[in-house]
Amino acid sequence: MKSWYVNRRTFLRGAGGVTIGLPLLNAMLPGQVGAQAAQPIRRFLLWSENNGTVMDAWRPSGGVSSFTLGRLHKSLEPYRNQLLILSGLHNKSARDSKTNAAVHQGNAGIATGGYNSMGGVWGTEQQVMAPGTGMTNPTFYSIDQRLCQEPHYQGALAARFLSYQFGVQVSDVPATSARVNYKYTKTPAFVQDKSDNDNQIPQYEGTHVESNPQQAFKDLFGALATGQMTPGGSGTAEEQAAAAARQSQKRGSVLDYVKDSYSGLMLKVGTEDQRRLNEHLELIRKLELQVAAIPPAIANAASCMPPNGANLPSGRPCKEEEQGTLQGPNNVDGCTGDLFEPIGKAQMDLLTMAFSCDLVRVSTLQWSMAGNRVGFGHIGAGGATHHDLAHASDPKLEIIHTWYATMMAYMLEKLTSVVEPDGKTLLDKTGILWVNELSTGATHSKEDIPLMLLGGAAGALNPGRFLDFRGQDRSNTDLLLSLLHAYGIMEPNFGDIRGEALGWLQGPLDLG
Amino acid sequence: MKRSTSWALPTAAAVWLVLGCSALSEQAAAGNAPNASDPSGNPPLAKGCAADSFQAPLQMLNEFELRNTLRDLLGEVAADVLIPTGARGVYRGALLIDQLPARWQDTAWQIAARAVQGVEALTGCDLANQNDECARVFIVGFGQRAYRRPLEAAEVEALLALYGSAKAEGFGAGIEMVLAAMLQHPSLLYRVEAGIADSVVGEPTLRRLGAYELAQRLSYNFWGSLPDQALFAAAAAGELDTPEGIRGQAERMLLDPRSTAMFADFVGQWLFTDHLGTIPKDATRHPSYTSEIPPLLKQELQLFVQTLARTGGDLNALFSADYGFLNAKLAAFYGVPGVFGAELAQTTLPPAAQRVGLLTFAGLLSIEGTVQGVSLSGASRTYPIGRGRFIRERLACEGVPPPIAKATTLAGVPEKIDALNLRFGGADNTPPRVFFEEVTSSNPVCKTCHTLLEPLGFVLERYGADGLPRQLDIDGTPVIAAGTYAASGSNSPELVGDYASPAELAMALAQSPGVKNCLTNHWLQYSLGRTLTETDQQCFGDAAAKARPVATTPLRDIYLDVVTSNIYRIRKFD
Repeated sequence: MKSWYVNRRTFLRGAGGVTIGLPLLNAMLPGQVGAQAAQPIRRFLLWSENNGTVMDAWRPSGGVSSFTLGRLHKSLEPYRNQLLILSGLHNKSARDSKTNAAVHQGNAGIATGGYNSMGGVWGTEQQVMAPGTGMTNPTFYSIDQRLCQEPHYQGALAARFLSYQFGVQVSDVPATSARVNYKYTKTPAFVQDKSDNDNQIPQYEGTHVESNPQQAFKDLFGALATGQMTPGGSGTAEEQAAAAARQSQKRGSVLDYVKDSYSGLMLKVGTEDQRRLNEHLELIRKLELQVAAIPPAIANAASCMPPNGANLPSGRPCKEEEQGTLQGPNNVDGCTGDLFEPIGKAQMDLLTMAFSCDLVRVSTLQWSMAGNRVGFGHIGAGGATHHDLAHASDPKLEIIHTWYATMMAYMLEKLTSVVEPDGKTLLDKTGILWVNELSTGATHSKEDIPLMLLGGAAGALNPGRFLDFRGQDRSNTDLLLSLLHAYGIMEPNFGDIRGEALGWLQGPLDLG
Repeated sequence: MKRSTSWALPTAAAVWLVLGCSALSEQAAAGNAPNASDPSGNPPLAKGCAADSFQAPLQMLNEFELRNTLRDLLGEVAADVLIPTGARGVYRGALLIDQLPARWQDTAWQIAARAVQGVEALTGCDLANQNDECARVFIVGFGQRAYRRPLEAAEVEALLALYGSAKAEGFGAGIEMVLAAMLQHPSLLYRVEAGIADSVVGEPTLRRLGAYELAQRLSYNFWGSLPDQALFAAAAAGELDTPEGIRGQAERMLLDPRSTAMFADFVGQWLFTDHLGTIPKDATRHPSYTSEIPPLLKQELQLFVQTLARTGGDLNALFSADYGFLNAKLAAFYGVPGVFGAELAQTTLPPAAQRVGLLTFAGLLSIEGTVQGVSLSGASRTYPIGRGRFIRERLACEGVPPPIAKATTLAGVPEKIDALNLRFGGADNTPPRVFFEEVTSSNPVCKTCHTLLEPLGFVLERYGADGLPRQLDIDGTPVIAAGTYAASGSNSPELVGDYASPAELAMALAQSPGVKNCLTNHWLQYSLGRTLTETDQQCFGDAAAKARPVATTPLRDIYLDVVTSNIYRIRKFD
């Protein structure tokens, strides 16, 4: 079992979704300390940027361990022993997807090894796509969504969030260009693939990605924050506890009613509607478990310090077309490049604490979306949007991708700053998969894409090396399978079921 | 029999797909046949209409609808509780259910707690004499509005039991339980449809929707909220069981000011005007196109379509109107004297403004978005490619193949582009006609598609990148506003031909059955919240709608024909 330390400044969540002061929860205080060493907590972070990069400046030179970082990555020099740089892999399933000129769908394949086709599902595609040119969702789920199915990769908030996806100006419409995470399910929907003899192909839906740090704070730390005492807030601790217990009981009865309502209604509707309602019901069942569950515990007394929600910026999901702006600072509407960094840093701070407090163990940070037109005028890469600069292979791209590397350096700094009781840092126990669906934006090339693993993943990864797979025709799917194995899930395949036949999946890579 | 119509919106595979004529003629025959199976005069299913065409996704209320519904149920107590997301899909947004129950549970309790602070006003129950019977009356009445259908007896009892479990703490506490439960109920969060079993003869998987389910479809379509008392009453009285009854209610709803938000939403997506103002115009070439103008242009187009639909305007008016909707600022932009005030009002434009219906609105011609395929102009130059594509795809529902990857790297193309850039001083100064002649029509690969695009867009060259009339092209030569609608294995062969002016093209569009079908198609997709395939159109099957002469079809009838059609009223269940 886990061993939990409790920060005495922190209020714990009591039964029933209300906060209760510590004195009532003595039963929660530390268990056995020894167990933690036996199975260290391992985290996973998927980090997504888009529009390709500048490959010559990205790729290191030199040998496996004697490499020199590419020009873009000077800021990562202090962390070179935490980098496992992978060159020469192809985003094959996305490359071969039947989407013709719809070139910005590579996100759907990058972390799934899935394929997507034309002939989309109304309402799930980017708003402005001409009807019918919409893409279907990919034919496989993403690796993060697979990992978090395992109890070992579930944090204390598992009843609510098996994983948490942070976004920076990511659209709320789960278009394939705007998602890298696709939900795991044993019963995917199937659609006809209009571009392939109407064959039935499975469809995995994109997850929610939260672009508002204030909402992310509420989701993750709401239960821990002070000042949420209900009801009334007056009276003795015992009175408050009694009121809280009563409130919890009420929530339980109402949830029972709601659950019965879903079950009852499912008897009356068609099978597809049943599937949707059942999906909703499953989430409600999880809520119910939470009502009955012990409070989420706090992993680390020293390092788990929930941030102050009041200081967080508010971000919001941005549509692609909103991001074509090159305006300077002070655009309060929140979808401009100059707000990219403050929102991104707030999300990274939250992410670090979500890991440190062991609320979730699998997470994502997604920077905007494929084909995004974020303006980078504020860092000297203005004149055109990122997308348009990428199309023109403009020299300013180096400025943008150098900046992205500094954001990663910030993330690594945060993860390094948290030292767990065993003396290891969070970064030692985290594996980061840094993806970009393209290599070169101008040609929308999905060949030889820039991929990197970072961190030690509690011994699962062996970083500090540069592995060059150029000329070997290997794929991101091969990498995803390797990663799955490194994380202890020894499944034979990953990605689209036809992956082996079509050459998208050869087998795990030798990551050493 | 001359015309074949593909309702397939463009997919790479379906672009050149055209339906055979036989299916349509059979359908017309079926539409005229007496209907023995349905005493209410409902049209039978058309032949060639597949059951799959009646599939409809389960719709969760989107943010707009949820806000409206809560407002209509509880007033403003919930207004600041929902976190805005702006989420919207194509013609239809969905709240995402990921994580929603966890959030929604908290929100529901928060709303319920606030609402019962005014529990007397909410329930109409006297707190001094609180009694269970009053609670029951509230549950029945409020519940019908919340679930958009009458509650079953067992549902009333279950809610009463929740009320009873907390009423010892006060009447408000009991009602709070009821509200928290109703707000989390699937019948509130989803537009649930169960249909009427065995209601479509010979089609066991198909069911007609019940009266309350239709009322719900209508109210969320036209108003984005729950039905009002009149619509509930119509459902209860069986009025929605006949096409005439549905039509009457839908017409009332269309005329009601509550449909204004729908027009804004629909027009913004249909005509791409949501993208207006995304990118500023070149201030040197178009100084009057300031950031204040695009929102007004967007509103003008909404008012245009909305007014036509509400006042009986027809397709002829849509494509030939010589008026606009101006306030003082927009009048100054158009150069029209004598308009004052901030409200946009219908104003006849002088000949110099060259207003010839929809095609010539500055709000259309000046659209530049950052997403592929929505731009009709750039910051400083017109995009005949985008204009041609808009007419084909958005107005005639004809597919244009998407641009091929790496088009600008095809052999010989980069050199030609470079030469033009050198000759004129950059792409922004190169006249589109020259670019077409020397680049897009000179390469055989490019030409295949571009023949369909620029020559059609050239008809509108008389309007600049700001959408205003102009005499000279960007190189100083006189503009030539003439062009060609090239044949393409086409859905609307009646449109194929040469056009010497925007007015000629507008007249052809107004008389084109393909254009009328396309408008119907867009509205159907908006109404059903899903895309349509070519076979789906077989099921639209309204013979009366098809029989209307095109140019004099009132816009309103296009809206109303959809909601009385089989495809709107029948759903597949399996």
